[in-house]
Amino acid sequence: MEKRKKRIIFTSLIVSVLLGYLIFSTFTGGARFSQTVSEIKKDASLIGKPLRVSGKVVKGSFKTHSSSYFFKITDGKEIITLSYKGILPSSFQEGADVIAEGIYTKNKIFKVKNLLVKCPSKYIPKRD
Amino acid sequence: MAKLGFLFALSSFILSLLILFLAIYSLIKKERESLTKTAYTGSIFLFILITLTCSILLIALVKHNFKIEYVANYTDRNLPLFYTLTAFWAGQQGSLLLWLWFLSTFTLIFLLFNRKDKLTPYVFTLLTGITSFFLLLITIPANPFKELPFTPPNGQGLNPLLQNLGMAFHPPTIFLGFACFTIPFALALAALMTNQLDENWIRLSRKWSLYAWFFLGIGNVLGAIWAYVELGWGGYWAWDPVENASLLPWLTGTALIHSLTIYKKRKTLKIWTFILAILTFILCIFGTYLTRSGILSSVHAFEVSPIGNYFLVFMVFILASSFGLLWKNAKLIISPKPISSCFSKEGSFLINNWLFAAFTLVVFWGTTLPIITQFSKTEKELTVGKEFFNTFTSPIAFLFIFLIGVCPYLSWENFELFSLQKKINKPFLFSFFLFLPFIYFFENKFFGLVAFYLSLFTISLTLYLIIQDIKRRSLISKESRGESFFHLFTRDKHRYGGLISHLGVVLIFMGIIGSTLYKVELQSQLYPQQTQLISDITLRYERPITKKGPNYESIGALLTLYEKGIEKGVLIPALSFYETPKTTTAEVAIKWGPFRDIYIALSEIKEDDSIVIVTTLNPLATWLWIGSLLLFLGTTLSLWPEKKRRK
Repeated sequence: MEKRKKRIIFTSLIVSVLLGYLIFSTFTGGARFSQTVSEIKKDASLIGKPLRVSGKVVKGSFKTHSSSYFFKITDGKEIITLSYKGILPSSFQEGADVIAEGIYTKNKIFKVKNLLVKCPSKYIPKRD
Repeated sequence: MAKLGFLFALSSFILSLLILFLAIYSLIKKERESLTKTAYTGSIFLFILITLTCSILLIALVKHNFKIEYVANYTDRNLPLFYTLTAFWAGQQGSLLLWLWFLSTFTLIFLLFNRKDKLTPYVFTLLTGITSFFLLLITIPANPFKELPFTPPNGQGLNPLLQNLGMAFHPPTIFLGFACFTIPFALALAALMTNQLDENWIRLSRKWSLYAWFFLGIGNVLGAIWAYVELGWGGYWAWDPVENASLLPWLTGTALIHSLTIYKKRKTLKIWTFILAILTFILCIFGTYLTRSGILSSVHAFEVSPIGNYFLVFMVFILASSFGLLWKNAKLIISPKPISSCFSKEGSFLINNWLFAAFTLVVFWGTTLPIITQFSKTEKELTVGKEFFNTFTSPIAFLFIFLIGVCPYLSWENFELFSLQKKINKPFLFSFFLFLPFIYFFENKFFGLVAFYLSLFTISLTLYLIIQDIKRRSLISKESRGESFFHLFTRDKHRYGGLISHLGVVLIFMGIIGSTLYKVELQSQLYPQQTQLISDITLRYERPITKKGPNYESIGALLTLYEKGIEKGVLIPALSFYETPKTTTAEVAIKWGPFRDIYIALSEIKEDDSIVIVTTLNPLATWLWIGSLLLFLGTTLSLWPEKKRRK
């Protein structure tokens, strides 16, 4: 059984090191907290950091300007402007719930890197 | 009609409980014969009742019975019949019903073929227990026959994104896989309960696991194809929680089918096999939970519903009881002698299992992080992006590809470097020859080229192995090479099915590398008659064109494609406008090619007829689909029934 014991110790050592690295790197770099629109507006320390924000696209706010898109999203209290360069997800429309990943810049515009649209009509029945 | 449907569901639930009690009672009392027989007969009636429940929902969908909430939520009068039928699994309640129906079908098939088996009473009891759980969901928190207080004149319609052939078949195939994995799980537990750890359960489990794994694989690929042709962002996999949900059991399932082989051949990796069978099933339930309870804010999110708690309790119960059972029997299962070398063939299977475990853990961690952190003090979801998954999974993928190539050349028990080296000399040289065009055609990116070389090395190793087998056989049996080839593939289906699947996996890997690292993307605004140059391609925008479909209107951009100055046909990316629900979807135009896809999505079309398009060049994207096809062909070969030999 000696060999088996050694092997178990060796394996668990490797596994715990890798596991530790995985958890460590998630919390130091990879992961992002979701912020609400109000939080981004309030907290100046978030400027320049990679963020994830979700909200509803404000009706009538969508504009195009030299192949960039601009639109506003709201969490019901505050509104911020987003800029996005790239393909709009096919379910994107005004009034849709979106999740945006990107950076909130000094000039109060959220530069979007990734844009996801939650599909309200797909699975979530509308409740009035 | 709703009442009738619910009545069927309720009586199925009651019947399943009766059968469950009867089955447990006969197990305890050891009065097998008569009682078990009654239970088996009962399960036929149960299947009929569940089928009737499903038919009622189907009829309600076809008849546009909008009084039923489910029908009103997912269909409308203009929806084509085909998609009206597929709306059956568009929502939570219907999908659970479908899961249930598959499960009861599989239970019946299992009974039909293994009636006499000693394990069957135990397997049957467990399967009935799981069936009862799903029936509980259908009757209480996820009743598909729930009625609205009024009858709306029209339904809300099916999301246009779901109106696609890939999406029509993707969910049921996934559920087919999920439900099918219940059987290897039940077999593993039955083997543990009865201490019959011999070949019998392995033989059955291998067959059912392969089927389940096959369905789940196809389901995942269908989902990827759907994302590629329908979502319009130029990719096929976004590490979305819902995609991960069905990837997780596929990963552990892959490890399971490999472990089963070793269990059967070498009587080792036994604990692994049991753990993997249990984990795979739990991940199937977990996958259903993730996608159908609305716990995650994913692109696919369902509404948050009370079924989450039912699932949690069920999962904890299964986890605790099955691992408890395993722990109790651990002493009997542990193989007498440990694997001698990590670099023997058994050793490589062990490494393979560890790699799959690591892969699963990374995906699981990344997927559940938002859920875990959601319940922390700050109540904020911590999420990881694509980069997280890519960084952690790619080294594992590289190791997989290497292992696939080398493993068949390793010998059992011992590691012999010298003989290995001698055996792989020729394919090693051949792989450099294959590599030349890649150096020529692909930009010099370190990881990309390493990945390509590694893949080609593995491909040459695998092909060389097959060629050697053929030569040897034709030498011994004096057949021609062609006959030998045919005979080998029909005799040892398991081995060659495996090798073909492995080739498929390598092609998939190359497809992913090509279309991720070497992707070219460009957004441009064009006026009619204007042209756009991307690498060696020229696109000319001719004019907008309109089209009318059964329940949508679309407006497209007619583009002429020139490759190296030669006209290569037209591409029409379009935007479709649906009335119910009021949505716009982008219909991408793809020119599929053996070496690259030209992928164009129209993002908007303006009053003055100018358009904004995003063009993506996806090198080797097609290899992904060809690889998947090979993977499934290989699996089919492995699953092909052996000819029964007459005694």
